[in-house]
Amino acid sequence: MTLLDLRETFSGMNPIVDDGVQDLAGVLRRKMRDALVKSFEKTQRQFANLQLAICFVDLPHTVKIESYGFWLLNDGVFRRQAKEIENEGGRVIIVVDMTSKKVTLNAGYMLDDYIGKGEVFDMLSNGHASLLEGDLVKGGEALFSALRKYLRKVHRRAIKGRKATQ
Amino acid sequence: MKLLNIFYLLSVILCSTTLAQTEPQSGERFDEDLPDPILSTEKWKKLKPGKVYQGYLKLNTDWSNNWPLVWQLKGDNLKLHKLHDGWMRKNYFRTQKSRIHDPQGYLTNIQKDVLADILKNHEKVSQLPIHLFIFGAGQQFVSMDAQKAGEEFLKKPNSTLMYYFMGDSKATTGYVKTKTPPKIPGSSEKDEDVKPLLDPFLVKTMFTKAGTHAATQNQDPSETLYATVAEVSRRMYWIEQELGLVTPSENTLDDTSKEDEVEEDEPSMIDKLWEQLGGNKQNLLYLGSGILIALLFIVSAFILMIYRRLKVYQFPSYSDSTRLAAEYGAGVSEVVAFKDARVSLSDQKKRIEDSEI
Repeated sequence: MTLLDLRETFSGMNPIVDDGVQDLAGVLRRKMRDALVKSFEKTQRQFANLQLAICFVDLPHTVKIESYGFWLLNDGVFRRQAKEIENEGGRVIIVVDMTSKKVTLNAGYMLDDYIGKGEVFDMLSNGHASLLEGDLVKGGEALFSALRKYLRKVHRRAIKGRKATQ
Repeated sequence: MKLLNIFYLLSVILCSTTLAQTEPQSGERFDEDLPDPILSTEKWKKLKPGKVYQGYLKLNTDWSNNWPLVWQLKGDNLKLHKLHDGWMRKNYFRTQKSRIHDPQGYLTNIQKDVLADILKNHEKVSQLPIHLFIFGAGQQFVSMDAQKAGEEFLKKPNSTLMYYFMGDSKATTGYVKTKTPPKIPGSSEKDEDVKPLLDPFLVKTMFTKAGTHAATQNQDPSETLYATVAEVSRRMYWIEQELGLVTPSENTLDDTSKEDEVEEDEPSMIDKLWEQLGGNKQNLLYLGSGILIALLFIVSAFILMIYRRLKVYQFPSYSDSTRLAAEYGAGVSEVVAFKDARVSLSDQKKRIEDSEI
């Protein structure tokens, strides 16, 4: 399925990511959101030319989370970082679907060559326990913490020009 | 009628004034020189001369002729209120074997024994023996100075007088007789110019503080008395130190100070460590270098942590190669489900790997 097809599917959905933490599912209370924004900013500060975000969505059963992540990665409007970062191939989005209870990560072209097979799954596994218990804040913080660690690893590869094994 | 009323009023006023003249006022009832008319009551006559009436009075045999004291009638008892110079000197300030002076019979035999023990123990460790004088609460000395009398009574220098008022330990006071202070050469021969070895205020404060401390710590009157004497005994150490009878390092006062001394004798932690190292300088060097390396490791780990937290990572630019008409990215993502706890992560990963095959 190409992006054009997906645009038709998600035509009514809001693709705006304001401050790195987008709660389209309406599951975060203010304090929870603030805690996640703090964790997000800590991560974003370390990776200057990447655009990071976490989105809590409530997708219909007919929509796959992978497709939504792909669409949001390309059509999403990152208001806050748009002016600061020129190269938008460095987008990294974590999507948490509260309907199907799934979490995924979509990364831009910038990281394409350096992300290894199964590594994203391992990284996302860090938030599994807390998300399973319904603790979205702890789960989100664990995901950001794992993302920081993983992106440092990816950065080392990128600097050395060593591609990841696919 | 009006005349009758006036006459009645006049008679009432006259009667009240005559009554006021016959009744003695409370402030004027007790004259120091004249025996009070109340002394001639039947109850007073029943008191036997020479017998001790607990807490009140030891009557002299010739009490009816010679009045050493001024009496105050309180209920059915005669309470000794003021102590006259002559009687005081005769009964208190006379040489006796015991250090405890209680001519009014305030103390029981048990109390006397306990106090004697305390004073005996004090004399074992102190060079300033204590003479304890017992008085009743609120008693006053008439026409005499307790300090001067004490000075005359204490024949040897470096001895102490302690005045304890039963039931009022806070009023405890005393006097320490010291050696004659050396006269400053060149100064006049007057006593006023000679500086005493002890500050009288310091001595007075010492006694008062001891009494107050004992009163706050104890409820029972006997216990308060013992505690006051013991506290004075303990505080005499500072007086001795002031007089140069003991050096500050010398510690021979009480059990607690002895315990402290024992604690001081115990080897310190460094000494113990030194013993464990066998007193070898090389071992100490190893220990020192080990500590230094550990310290360096901790510091470097801390610096690394700060560096990693503050470091900004910049990814290199990428070659534009759009796929699936996607402008920013078209990578295949991996999904983790957290709906069911029974579906483990390893199962999920295995399923992904199988599907890729």
